[in-house]
Amino acid sequence: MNTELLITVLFVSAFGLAFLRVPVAFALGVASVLVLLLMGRFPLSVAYVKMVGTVGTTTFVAIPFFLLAGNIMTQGGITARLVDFSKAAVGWIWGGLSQVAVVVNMIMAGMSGSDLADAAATGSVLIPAMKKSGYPANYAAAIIAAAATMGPIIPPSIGFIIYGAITDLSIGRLFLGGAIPGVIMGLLLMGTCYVTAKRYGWPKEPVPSAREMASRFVDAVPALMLPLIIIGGILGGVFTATEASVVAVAYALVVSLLVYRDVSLRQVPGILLDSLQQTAVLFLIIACAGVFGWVITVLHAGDAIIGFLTGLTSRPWIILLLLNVLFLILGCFVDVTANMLIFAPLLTKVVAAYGIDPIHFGVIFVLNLQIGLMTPPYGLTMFLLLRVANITMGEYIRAMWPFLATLVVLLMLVTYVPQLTVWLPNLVFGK
Amino acid sequence: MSAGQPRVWLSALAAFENVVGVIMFGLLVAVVLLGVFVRFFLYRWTHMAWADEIARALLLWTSFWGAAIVQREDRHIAIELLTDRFSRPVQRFLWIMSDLLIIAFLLVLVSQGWPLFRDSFVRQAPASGLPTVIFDGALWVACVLMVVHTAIHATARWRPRDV
Repeated sequence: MNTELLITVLFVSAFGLAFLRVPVAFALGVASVLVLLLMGRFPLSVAYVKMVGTVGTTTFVAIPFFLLAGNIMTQGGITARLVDFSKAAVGWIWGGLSQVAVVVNMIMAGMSGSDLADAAATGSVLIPAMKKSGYPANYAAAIIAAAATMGPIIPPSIGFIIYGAITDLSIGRLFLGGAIPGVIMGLLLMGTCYVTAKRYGWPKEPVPSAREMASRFVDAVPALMLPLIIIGGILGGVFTATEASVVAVAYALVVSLLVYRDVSLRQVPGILLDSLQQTAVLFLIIACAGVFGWVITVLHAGDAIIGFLTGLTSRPWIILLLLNVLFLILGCFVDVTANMLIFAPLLTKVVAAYGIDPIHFGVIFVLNLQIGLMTPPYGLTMFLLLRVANITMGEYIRAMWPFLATLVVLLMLVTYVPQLTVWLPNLVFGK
Repeated sequence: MSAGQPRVWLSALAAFENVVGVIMFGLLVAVVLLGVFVRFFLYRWTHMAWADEIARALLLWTSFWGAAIVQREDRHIAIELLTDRFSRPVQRFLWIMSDLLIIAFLLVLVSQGWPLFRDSFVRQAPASGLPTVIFDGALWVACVLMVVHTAIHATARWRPRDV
């Protein structure tokens, strides 16, 4: 069977099975094994070896810890304190609780690194509160979906850990590359909330007294220290990604058990089991995408894609535009992790050919794919929030547009102003 | 065998998987925490060359063992957007086909991974000196567990009252 046909079988079977409700990880695995069988050049044991090899990467050890830290924060009262603090800090601005959603997600992004964890944590607290205050449920879900996108952009970030491990780029540089775009994202989303709330006349919280403001701040100080410790540690070159993740878990556990006392030792096994399952869902996709990516490599599908793209234009700004459009569309249909494992190794070669900074491109790529998490038909953050808000996908889509447009504007800014991503890593780590 | 006996066995298996999963995850946390602590505070006196290897092994075991638990709960990420529009009988047919495909894939891994799994008991990991089953065994064991859980799902979908 010729190579073009094998590539077609690989992609059509993977996508086809996924859309027929075969879990995404298994769809990738089945498609890979099918093509290995058709090729007949390699033993099927390659699939087993690649799955083990992909998961057993040292850098990936950080991922379960960030997921665990997120779960401890949610169940240990840290999220609730951050919501109370943010209400006092920004709840009185036009957009009220939606501003709170953005600020809380910004702070959470500095601790957990996962948008799903952040969306679950803030959505379960804020969506009921927003509905009670008179916000439409679909608007509440849409702003939290958009704000949670900051999770893997502001350091620490599971997305950057995976991208860095695949492409051999410095994870510290990638983390810092996401810091400024993450903050701009927060500010842009706050601006969108302000304009939307003014237009529809949505409520805002009363201005708190100085005493109330101080009390909520003091209550939140132990929680607010965590992003400072993590980001400070990474900025100062004190922590690696794995060490930062361990510090996050240890600190969140100490604050939840000893300071806030919202969680007891008896609840810890339950939190571990939840985190174990989240880790397993992600890593089974990583394992199967590892085999899928390897099959693409041996089929030389990457060369065909690179040849096609480089044949279209010689200008870096056009290739970046084309890649952005391609991955905005692919991100709507393919899982973020699978997308990274399949395409990142190919794309690093493409961007190198155009002289584009790899850290700059890493941030564009991860940001682009994260946007896909809030869009239909395959947006995991969207699915999660549809359940929390109890709304249909149609209702969600109607409220999603202003926030999606804001994130696309940010993506264009990040794409065409490289200083936003490369200035900070170069400042801290040198050129 | 009474009608309730399979249910008792399944509950026992679920409890066993959960307890082992929590212990593995707890060990992963403990080993990495200890490694970081030693690297920061006790680096003058001791070092844990084995910590990285054991952490990677525990990551493999927690990931794949956890995958079996998630498969038991039928909660691996799937796109239901299209199939939700089909009638119930068509949905049921597609679910069963999906289960059978998954079982076939897992059996390929079990059979092809068997030589690696068997040999991993005699090979040694470089830093810890432990058998390499600490790396190569996790996927094989998890695949066997996932075959069991997927077969149970398929049976339940085929004849809902039996399981």
